[in-house]
Amino acid sequence: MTDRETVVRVESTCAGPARVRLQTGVLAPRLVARTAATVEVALVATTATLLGGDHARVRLEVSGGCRLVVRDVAATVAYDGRGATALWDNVIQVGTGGVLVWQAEPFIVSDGAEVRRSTRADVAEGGRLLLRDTVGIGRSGQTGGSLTCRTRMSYAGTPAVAEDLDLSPESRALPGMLGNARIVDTITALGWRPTAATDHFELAAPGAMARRLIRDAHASDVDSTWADWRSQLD
Amino acid sequence: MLLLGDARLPTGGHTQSGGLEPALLAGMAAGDIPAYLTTRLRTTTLVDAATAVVALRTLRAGGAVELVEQAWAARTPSHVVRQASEELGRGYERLLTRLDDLTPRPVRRGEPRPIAVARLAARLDVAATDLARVICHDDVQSVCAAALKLAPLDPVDTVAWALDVAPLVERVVAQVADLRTPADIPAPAAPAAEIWQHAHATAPRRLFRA
Repeated sequence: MTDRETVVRVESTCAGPARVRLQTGVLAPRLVARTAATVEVALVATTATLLGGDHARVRLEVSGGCRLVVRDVAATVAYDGRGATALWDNVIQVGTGGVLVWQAEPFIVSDGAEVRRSTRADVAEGGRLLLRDTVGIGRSGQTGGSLTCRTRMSYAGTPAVAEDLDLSPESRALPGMLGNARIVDTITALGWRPTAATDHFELAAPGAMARRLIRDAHASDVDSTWADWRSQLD
Repeated sequence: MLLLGDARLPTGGHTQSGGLEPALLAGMAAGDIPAYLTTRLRTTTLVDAATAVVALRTLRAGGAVELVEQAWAARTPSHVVRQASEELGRGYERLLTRLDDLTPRPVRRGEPRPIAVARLAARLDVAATDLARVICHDDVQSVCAAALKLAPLDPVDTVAWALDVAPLVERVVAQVADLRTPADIPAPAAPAAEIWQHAHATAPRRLFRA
């Protein structure tokens, strides 16, 4: 059990490569590559995550003129908490002119797990964020535990996305929640408008959201959307 | 106010099915319609009722309604769903101009339905709890009225559904009655319903706009 915060902070320096600050929590950030303006970090689990009573906290910050690319090495599984809730909080800050890309691997909620996740992302005017978030209910053959996801994102100080997703067994059984899917695969872009297409939502704030509800992770067709939106950041 | 908030009045409510037609086209069973009302009341309708109450308080205090609209829009990610609500808002705004002045005049851009109804409530001196109830009533009746056109039903069944969810309506009213600021507005989502409604804009055979 740990509640130390995982931190990745990238700041530009006047000369030389971007300054990077890394702190290990439930996840350990590993520097994969660093150039003058781009930093690539992999998040590696340090213990068996996620257990009942755990409180994982991840903070990703990138300042103006820098680009931070974050990758997860493996999916995260929330195990049977034996009555104890697990918490996972993400905090993301992107400064003016900064770019942050996080292709998170699936977050799977096993039978008996009870998880409350939150994601807070604030993107300053002129900053850009591209985030992939995949949550799955139950490992193969399971009905799955309980998950709530609270998301609050802003762009230039204005609310861009506010969502409370109640994926408890009772709530997700209602028609219109998940259908027969067990995976919610979401890509969110903030700070620019990807080319319009009928299969994604255009947010009121500059940004877009592409979401698929699927039964099997490998059946998701948002990979092409990810590749497309990702290329628009280059 | 209940009558003004009713889909039968010429505010354009008859073009809306409260997401029911998209849901049925996506394969939701007609037998699930009563449970679908619960989904709505716990998610979209709750957001709209809360938005309306906060908008009403903001209007009365002379505050910035734009901030309430931004909060609502952040809770409504699909532009298709937002546009459907704004079309309804235009209908209410037209109604409001007629209440003030019998000569029809061009309405401004549509505001989302909950904010347009809040303007009506401000004009008619309606209490926040009654406004929240009207929003719920309108939503439940939109689904029930549409159900009669989309599925073979005894009309009495839809009345029974509306009565069955009355306790949930009262829970929504209690939940939103004291809300004051845009950040107070809850943000519960129904992801499948959202995707179904989003796809409805391009659906080939449809009776309803949304």
